[in-house]
Amino acid sequence: MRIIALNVHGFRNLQDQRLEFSGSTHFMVGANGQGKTNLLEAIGLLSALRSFRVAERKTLVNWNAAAAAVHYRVDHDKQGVSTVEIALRGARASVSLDGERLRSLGDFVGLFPTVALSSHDIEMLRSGPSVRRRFIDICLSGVDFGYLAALRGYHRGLVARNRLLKGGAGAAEVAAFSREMAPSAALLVRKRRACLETLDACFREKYQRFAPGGEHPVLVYSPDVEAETEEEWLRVWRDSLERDRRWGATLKGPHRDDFQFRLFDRAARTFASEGQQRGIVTALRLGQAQWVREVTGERPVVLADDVLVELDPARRRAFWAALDPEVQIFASGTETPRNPEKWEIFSVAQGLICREGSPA
Amino acid sequence: MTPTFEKLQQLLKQLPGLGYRSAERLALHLLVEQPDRLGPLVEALREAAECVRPCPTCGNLCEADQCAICADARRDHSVVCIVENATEVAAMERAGGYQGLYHVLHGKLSPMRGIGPEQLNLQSLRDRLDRSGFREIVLALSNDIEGEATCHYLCEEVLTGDALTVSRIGFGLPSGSAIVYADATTLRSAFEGRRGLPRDPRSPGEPGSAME
Repeated sequence: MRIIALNVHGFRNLQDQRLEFSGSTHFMVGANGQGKTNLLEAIGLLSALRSFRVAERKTLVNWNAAAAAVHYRVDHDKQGVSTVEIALRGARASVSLDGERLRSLGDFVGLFPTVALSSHDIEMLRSGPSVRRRFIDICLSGVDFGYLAALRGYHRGLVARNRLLKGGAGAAEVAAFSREMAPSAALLVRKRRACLETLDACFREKYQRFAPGGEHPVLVYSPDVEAETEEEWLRVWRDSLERDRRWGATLKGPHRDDFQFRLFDRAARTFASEGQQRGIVTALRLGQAQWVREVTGERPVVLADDVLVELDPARRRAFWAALDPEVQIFASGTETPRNPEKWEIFSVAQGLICREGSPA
Repeated sequence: MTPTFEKLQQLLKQLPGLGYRSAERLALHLLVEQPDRLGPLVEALREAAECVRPCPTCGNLCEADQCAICADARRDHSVVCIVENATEVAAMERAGGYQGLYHVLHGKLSPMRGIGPEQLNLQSLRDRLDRSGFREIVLALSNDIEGEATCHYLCEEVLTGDALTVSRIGFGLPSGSAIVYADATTLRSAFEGRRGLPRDPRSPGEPGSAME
């Protein structure tokens, strides 16, 4: 898919404006705090109405505006040219597709995929499991509404069960909520495993561009518990009930899953160099883009927020070699890229975005 | 505003569904705009407070020893439909088609709001199950995590009789609607809750196993 035009109103610090894009490589250049990332974020909302930066949607609306709206004109690989309008009011969001209001998020998820690369991606190697779980959750939620629904249901059940464990509730009451969580837990583990297997193949293929013939990194799913059916989860939680009670929390479950990057059979977080680590997370995002295409049949729009400048020349070449040439990419940086002929360049200042060399 | 007016407004504001503005509007309406409505309203409140109470058998609203439904000998006394609130009894009755009895739980399990089994109308349900030989129990609780967890709890802890058939009401497409307009979650639950269509009155059809 390709974004042809964009109208923004009341979105973060961006001034109300209409932007048109030609070609498939667009670079936003400007000092910090001018609105480069905000534009990329507005485009990223197309996948599952989620910001790739913040968990709360409320912050997306401009301080001085009651509501925000983003209007997209998209050339969809399968559906042709469509218009999408996302309206945000407080934490609420509504979507219209070709003028028709969608009644459920489920009708929208997976239709307009985007993949965002950001300088925070390196945290996937350096930080704890929660960052990696968030990656896999966003990855799957962006294409599979069943996964998103199970994830929400599981967490609602988990909060309730933990409350019961803390309050010393009876075993039957705890079990009633475990039973509500079990089908979701089984589905989450099955889908995460399937996703990581395919994603691993895409990731390895992309990484070959970054280190030809040399290193072979592997993405490994390490679930907290190897349980893929409802019955297994019920058994796990029955057996761990006494311990859960002592801690006042559900100690086992997909909310403690993790996955690892391994290089030469060792954890990449400790053995990879800085450059290797950047290569690994960049290859993972490009692998994700390929995975999205395999799953949805649609080429995602790639958003590269302030990452291309951080790659050394060899890895930047690898990035372009690994990127599907048909993919539309929006990148941002504080300096004009070294290969300006490759890009349609826009300058960003105080929320206003202008095509370089053309009148505003 | 006067202190007495403010006291009234504060009390009204605590009622469900009323905020500061609506409470103020109500108070003003009753005291200044339409004071003639006040007397009958106070009288109705007093009377209701004296007469209306939960049915000792099923928890539905009643004014006599039993509610009108429990007292109705023409209804099927072998089937009980369990609901969360008395308003659901009224909704089911308006819909018609059900001729059995009810049991009102006055809520559902909700750890977040501190509602556990002790807060629900369960003891009288246990007593009823011991006393009367029910044939079937229909669970008509809401289709959310808490409603479903309450169903699991009831099945494991309360509805334990061997001869008892327990069923859950169906969830799926709204009547008269087309499939293309249904959202993904509803469609999935409609699919999971599909039922066989009898092709011959003597052999009801079996649903296929196309979905996990």
